[in-house]
Amino acid sequence: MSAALAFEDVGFSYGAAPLVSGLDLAIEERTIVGILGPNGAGKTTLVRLASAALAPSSGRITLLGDDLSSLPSKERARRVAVVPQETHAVFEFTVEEIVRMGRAPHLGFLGIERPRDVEIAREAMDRCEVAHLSERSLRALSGGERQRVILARALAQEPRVLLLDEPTAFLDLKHRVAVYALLERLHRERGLTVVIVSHDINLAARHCDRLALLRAGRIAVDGTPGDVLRPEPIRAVYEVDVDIGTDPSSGRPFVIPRGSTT
Amino acid sequence: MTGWRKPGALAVVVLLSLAAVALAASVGPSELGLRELIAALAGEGDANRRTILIDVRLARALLAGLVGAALSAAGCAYQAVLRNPLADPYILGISGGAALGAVAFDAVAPRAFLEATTGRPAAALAGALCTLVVLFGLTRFRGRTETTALLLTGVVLNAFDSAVIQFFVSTGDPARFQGTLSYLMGAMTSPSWSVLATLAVLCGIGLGALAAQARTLNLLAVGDEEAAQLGVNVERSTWVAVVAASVVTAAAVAFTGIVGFVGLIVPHAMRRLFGPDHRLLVPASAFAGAAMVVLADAAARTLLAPSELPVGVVTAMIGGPFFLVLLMRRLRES
Amino acid sequence: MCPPLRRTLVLLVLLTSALACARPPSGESEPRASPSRIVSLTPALTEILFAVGAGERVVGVTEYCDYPPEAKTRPKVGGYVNPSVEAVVALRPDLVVVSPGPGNRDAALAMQREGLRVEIVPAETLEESLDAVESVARLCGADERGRALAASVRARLDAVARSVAGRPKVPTLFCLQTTPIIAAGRDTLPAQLLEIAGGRNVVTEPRYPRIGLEAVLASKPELILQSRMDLPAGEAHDEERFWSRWTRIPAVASHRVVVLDASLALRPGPRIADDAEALAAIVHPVVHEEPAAR
Repeated sequence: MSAALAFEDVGFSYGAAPLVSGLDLAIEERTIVGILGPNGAGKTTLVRLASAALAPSSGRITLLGDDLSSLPSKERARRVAVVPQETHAVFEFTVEEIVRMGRAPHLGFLGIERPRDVEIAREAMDRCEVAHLSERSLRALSGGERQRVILARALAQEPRVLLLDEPTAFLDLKHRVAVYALLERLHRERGLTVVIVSHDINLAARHCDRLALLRAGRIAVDGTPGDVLRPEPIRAVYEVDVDIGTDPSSGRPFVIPRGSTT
Repeated sequence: MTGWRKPGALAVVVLLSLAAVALAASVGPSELGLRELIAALAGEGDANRRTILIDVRLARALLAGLVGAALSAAGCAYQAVLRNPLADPYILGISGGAALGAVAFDAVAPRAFLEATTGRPAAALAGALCTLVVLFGLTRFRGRTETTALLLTGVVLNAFDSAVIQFFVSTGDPARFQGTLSYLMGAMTSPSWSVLATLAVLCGIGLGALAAQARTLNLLAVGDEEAAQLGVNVERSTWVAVVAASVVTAAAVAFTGIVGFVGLIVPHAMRRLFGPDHRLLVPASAFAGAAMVVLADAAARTLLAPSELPVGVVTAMIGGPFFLVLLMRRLRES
Repeated sequence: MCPPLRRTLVLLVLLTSALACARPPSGESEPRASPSRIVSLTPALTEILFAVGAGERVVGVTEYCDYPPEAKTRPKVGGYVNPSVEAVVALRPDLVVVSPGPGNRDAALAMQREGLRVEIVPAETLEESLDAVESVARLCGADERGRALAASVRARLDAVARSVAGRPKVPTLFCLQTTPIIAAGRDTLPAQLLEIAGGRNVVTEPRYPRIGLEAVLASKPELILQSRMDLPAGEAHDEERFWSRWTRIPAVASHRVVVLDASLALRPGPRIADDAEALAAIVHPVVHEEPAAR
């Protein structure tokens, strides 16, 4: 399988400070990959580089075989969709209006929607279980509902790659579990390549085929959850001592931080 | 509003704006009303009457309508691009530039070859377009434009223009600038049909461009990064919207001076009725804005007849309290 | 407010009032020698000063004091809206004359506070102009010349009125500006001169109202006088083009739209007679062949 998204020796600096350097990462199609790491490791920068919100200072990023910087924006938006950490709604768009915006990369010059576009948007809302909220204003929804709406919009883009930046950051336990389950389902049903930047080590371990640990702007460890989630790599990246257990339902590794030693 | 109610409401707004024009053309110090207007349009009645009804009143009402439509649609666009419901068409300094152009014209223009009726508007338009160029030059950095930079530059430009205007007015002969000062408060005139046509063409192009961009405006209104991720060329779309909105604003200000509050209030009110979808919002605002300025001008003409108020005074008197009400309602809701 | 602070404030107020009262107000009648250094803050008053022979004693004028030509040689103290207090004080005048106008009140008061003698001479209407001639002359000790000049101006105005006495009054719009239309209303100097010259002002509002085009059409003026005081005599003008669209106005249809350039001063000073004569020649061109010699 070819690489859906590949970083080749990518560097990015904000002024003098390098946020990412020597980043090498190849994500294969139809996989679910979790990007983990402590704060400031460069996880959000990685997502923004992958969605072309930022241009790398050095190195090259390819999306489905093509150089990311050379793709016209609409074509890029047809291939990759992003679910950001949070959204700030200044105006009172309804849920349906927001999800229909996801069809933008597929529309013509005047942006006229065809019945098929409306249908795809509705389907996306169904999949994410927000169809019953279609007339509500986005601002009036809870964090979890809003997250699902943005996910529905991303799905309406019909991307091949889905990037999520800490999708569970503001969600309660029930919704965290639900989001990951939904992502895995979508991955299975549609063959999506899913890249999740997360703080949630254990949920990521349970649902991702592969994990990459980021530290100080580069990939420190990369492999299956079983390879990556071991005490030494975790101590090197997170500076925390842990024990590793086994998740009874999935058989995947499970990280248990040891108590503070001080 | 769901289903057919929104397009239905839009039709109502369109009808209201037409009714406003008819009403405005039916009021005035002479005792000529709607019946006489219809007769005049049909070519009947004496020539004096026809002149008053059509060349004086109707032409003026149409000018007022165009100005209202231009300012309201521009207001929508600015509010979307700057993601700020408090933005008005003057916020980026376009009005300051137009005013400065007009004042500079009055101060230095050689009267021999430029007449005030077309010279001053041309100078105002030039001033506004120069401002646009300066804005573009000052706020682009490495091919990107921060909306904060746009806003701040606009504020600074407005302040600078005000200062230069003050300089001209205080060092020049006050008699010369009497007219300028009235113009700056919103001076509606009865334009010649060629002037009206010019303005109509400029507004038509600008409003057409904004209407075509409606979907993109929706995306920009949600957020720059999100719009980019949905495939919008944010830099280009922002500038297309800003230029289109600025050209129609400049045209409006050039001919009638600064009519305030319309570009701020009308998009707000229409957003409450129609929602933020610009495919409905832009046309609704254009027609509602037209109606507002037409009616304000009719009031300005008749309240103290035969004296006239500057139309900007009337829009401020309506707009100010209305805006406070909107604001209080918004605060109470959140 | 705490009592000690309040006491202090009251004392301060009393002290300041006492000091203010202690200054002699200007204009008290003490026998004065004729002023020898005069500053004029109003172009009309400058004209009067020169006309009554006090011209050599004028040491400061505004930038707009352009008549007689000699007046332009005097040092300038600013515009007539915002004259410079400092410049006036530096000239050490023993008399400052000013006509109340928009914006010069603060400057005049400031000069008074500096101890200068400031005489306020209203000069806006016709009557005020004639009175101003005599008052200013009196202030300079040129009473006789003032009276003579005022009498001569009055006589010429009466002559103009007599010369058009039998003719029907021409309904006239005295317009100062076209966008927006600002006209001279009743009791303004232009309107009063117009009346003398045999015209009837179609505008009945007082002062300088902003008039709607419809009202102008309805009033059917047979003559439109368009004043452009900032235009030097003889330059091109575009106001005719503005009016030329409205052929329904009798004045436009009969090509009686006259642009008045700066040869008509319309200043409330000694030249109002010249203005009246010139206006009469325009309003009733058949009666007059040439205005009386100045």
